[in-house]
Amino acid sequence: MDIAKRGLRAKDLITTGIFTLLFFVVVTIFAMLFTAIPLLMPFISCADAIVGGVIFLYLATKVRKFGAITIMSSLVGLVMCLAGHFWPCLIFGIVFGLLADFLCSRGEYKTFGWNAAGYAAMILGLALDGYSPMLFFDEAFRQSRLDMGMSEEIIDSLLATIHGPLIIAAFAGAVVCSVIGALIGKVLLKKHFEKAGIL
Amino acid sequence: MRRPMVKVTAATFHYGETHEQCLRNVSLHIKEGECVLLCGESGCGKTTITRLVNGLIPHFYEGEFSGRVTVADREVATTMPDALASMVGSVFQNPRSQFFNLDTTGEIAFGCENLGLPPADIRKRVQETADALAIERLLDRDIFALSGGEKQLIALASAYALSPDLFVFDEPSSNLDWTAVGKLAKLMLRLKQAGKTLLIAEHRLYWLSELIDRVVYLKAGRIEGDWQAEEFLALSESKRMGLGLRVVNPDALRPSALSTKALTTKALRPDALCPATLSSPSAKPPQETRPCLRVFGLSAHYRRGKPVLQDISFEASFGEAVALLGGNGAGKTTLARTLCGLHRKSSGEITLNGTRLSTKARAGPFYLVMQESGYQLFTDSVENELLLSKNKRSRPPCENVEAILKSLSLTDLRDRHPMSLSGGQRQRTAIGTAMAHDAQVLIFDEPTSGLDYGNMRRVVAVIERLRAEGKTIFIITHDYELLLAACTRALILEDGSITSDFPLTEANRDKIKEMFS
Amino acid sequence: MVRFDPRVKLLVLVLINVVIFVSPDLQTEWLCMGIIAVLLMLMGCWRQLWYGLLIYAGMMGALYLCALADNFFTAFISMTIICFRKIMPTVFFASGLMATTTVGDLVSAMQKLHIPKVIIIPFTVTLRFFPTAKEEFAAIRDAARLRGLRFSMERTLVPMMLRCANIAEELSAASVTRGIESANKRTSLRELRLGLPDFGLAAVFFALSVLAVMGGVPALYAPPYG
Repeated sequence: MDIAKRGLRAKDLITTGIFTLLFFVVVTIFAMLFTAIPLLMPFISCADAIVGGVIFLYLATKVRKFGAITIMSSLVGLVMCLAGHFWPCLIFGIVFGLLADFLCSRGEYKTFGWNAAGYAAMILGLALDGYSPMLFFDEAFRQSRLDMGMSEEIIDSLLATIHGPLIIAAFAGAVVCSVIGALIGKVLLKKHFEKAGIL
Repeated sequence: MRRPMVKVTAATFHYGETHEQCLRNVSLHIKEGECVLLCGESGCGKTTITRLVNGLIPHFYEGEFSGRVTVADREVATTMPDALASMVGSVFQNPRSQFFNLDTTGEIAFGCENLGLPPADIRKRVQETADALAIERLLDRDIFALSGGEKQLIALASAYALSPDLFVFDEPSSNLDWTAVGKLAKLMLRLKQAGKTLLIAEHRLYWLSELIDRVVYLKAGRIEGDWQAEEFLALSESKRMGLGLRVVNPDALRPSALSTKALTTKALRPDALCPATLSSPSAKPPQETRPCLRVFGLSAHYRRGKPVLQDISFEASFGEAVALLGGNGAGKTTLARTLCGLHRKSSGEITLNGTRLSTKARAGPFYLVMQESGYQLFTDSVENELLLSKNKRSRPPCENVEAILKSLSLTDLRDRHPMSLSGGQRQRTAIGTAMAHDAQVLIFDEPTSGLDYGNMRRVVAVIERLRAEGKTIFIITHDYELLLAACTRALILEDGSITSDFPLTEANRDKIKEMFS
Repeated sequence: MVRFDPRVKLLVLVLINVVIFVSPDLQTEWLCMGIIAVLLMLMGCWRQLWYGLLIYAGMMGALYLCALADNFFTAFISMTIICFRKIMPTVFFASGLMATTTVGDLVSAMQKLHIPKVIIIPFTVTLRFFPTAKEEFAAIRDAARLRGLRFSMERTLVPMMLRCANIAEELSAASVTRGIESANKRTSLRELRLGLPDFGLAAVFFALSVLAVMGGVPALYAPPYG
């Protein structure tokens, strides 16, 4: 492993691991809550965005090196994938993680504007994760309902409601919420972490 | 003629962006096989010296460093941390956050695995370590199932497995109870007899008195004392207190709390911390002997039905300071949590001032100051912490935040973020929130772990004041000095039941000493 | 009690995902759950076994009840339950995997799979940190209750993050002083070696995956025609 001071050191990797867990817990909590109401499923990432902003900003400003954000996004994608949310999660996690990292690096991980942009990118990736099961659940849902003897009509009307304008609203919401989340994060970081001397 | 193991020359260092010098021109030579104690008040720089020796400075902590540090003739600044790992073994203060693995055997092998030693060699070393440190029964266990003392032994084993010649300890006894400290001392003696060099930064001194060869005293980043062990142990008590150090000879201590006049006139002084307590109708003029807290038949268990507290009954009066003593797993913390209403799975009666309190109702009149103050502080400044506690009470506010800050010497720190404070300062802030919370019964869980002499005395003073106001205090502690200075009575718990209950008078001192030796 | 190589366990985790993803029918899912149950028995994970089966049975029961009252409302509920049910097999097996694999074994497995250290360290720390995070959170929640504070982001997430920042520093320091940044190739206490049970396990799940691709259990008695 490259021990050059500029690369990711053990401190950075361990910090990334711990804060990724925190982020993952936030994501899981909202995933479980919102799945209870299927219409809300695409909006999981909106809730994540608001609460997770402080975690993301902390990691970016604490580590300040390329790679931490990519790892966080990829790990969240990977664990969601292994927990059964299917393949696209991992791909989106890596791709949008790289994008987020790149955007943050433009501001040297210190400038709020670029960090917020990076955060929005990562949240978009998460939003796509939230949407992809819809495509596959379609099949599964249809199949299992037919198995149990439900009528086609109800299935169809249900699925029709879910696609379409709802998804666009969800993506737009994700971007808006990530800006809100980043702002909240900025306030909290300043009030607590900078004041405590940790950042 | 022993060769030098550690050579620190003209070391000057400050962390990160601060310009406060943490170490100023420190020079220290340690010979092979020596056991050296680094002591001093909080913030004196003893931890920083340990970091110079194990390479965390400059490889981990950033800051401005000048000077030279060599360990076994190798320059620390230019030696990679993994090479240093097999030369210097480190044991840190907090056993809970040192473990990379979740199983003990894996943790012991951790260092060896990182350095790429052959598997057969690793297995041999793990076995040798288990034999040398007598921890065979701790192998293949879940880290979460271990006590604090056992965790610290695993941390030591993990460092030992790399067979370093020098061991560095940063306040290793802070979170440990009596028996654990004894075990640790025995092991460190074994290390010394095997020819290892030991460097120990510590507050609690007397458990080391048979172990050390030399004592180095630091103040504000400079070495101001360097004695051979016999010289240091011969220092007078007043000299030792003047240096801000903890007791060296526990036999010299006498229980003093019962002799301080707790109540009567003091309680009616105008600057008493919260006059509101005394003017409220439920608190009649307090008398020391009338019990205000009655606990009857208290039992508690955990999920699997295993009982932790069994039919506990006792009474406590206004102005008492009761020490809760007992070994690990005796139930002290559970008792504390049950009294505060935090532990739900309990049964029994708790009556305060004649009113029976249900589990939910206890959180106001009872308050617990936790061992780890980091859990209890929620705001961004010391002053706001105190105000937070105050605002939660519906009583008319009394102008006591200033008084509390003053009594705890926190006035200068009022705008600082609690997490930027040192351990001792944070502990005082947590105690301040307890005072502002204005509960009737206050429970302190290890309030002085890791505190130096001056801070410990401050805690004693606070407890005296609280007693003077008529509060009832419980203190869970392994700190002998605190016990004798602040507590009026001792309750000893064993396996969830009370086995002894006696006042801390001169006559009973021997009973306590038995527990602590 | 059979001990399986962590690499094979990871493979099984991936294959379970494939099976559920590829075949949307219930019977294949039941077959999968059944095999996992047997696997957990072999691994000695009784607690995980009972919990998992209980929860799954509960879900199936709820779904049948919903199917009986066939309207829009129950359709919603059953959709939710199905979402959770779909991830059950993976979670079921993962619980067994976590209980039988140590951190060191996981690191060794990932190392043998040539995953770079920059991924291994954060990944293992994330998994390993879960029980610690639970403890920390419980303590913070107790303290908040004691002080009468209400649940809010600033009162929960911030103290949690501050604690984590502290722990991250202490854990990293303790790891660095034990050579985690060494450029040497990491070895391990317990050498991983693939044995007969591992090949057997892999074979079973490969077969299951092939079956799933070919149409799942229904294909067994009604083979698709060209």
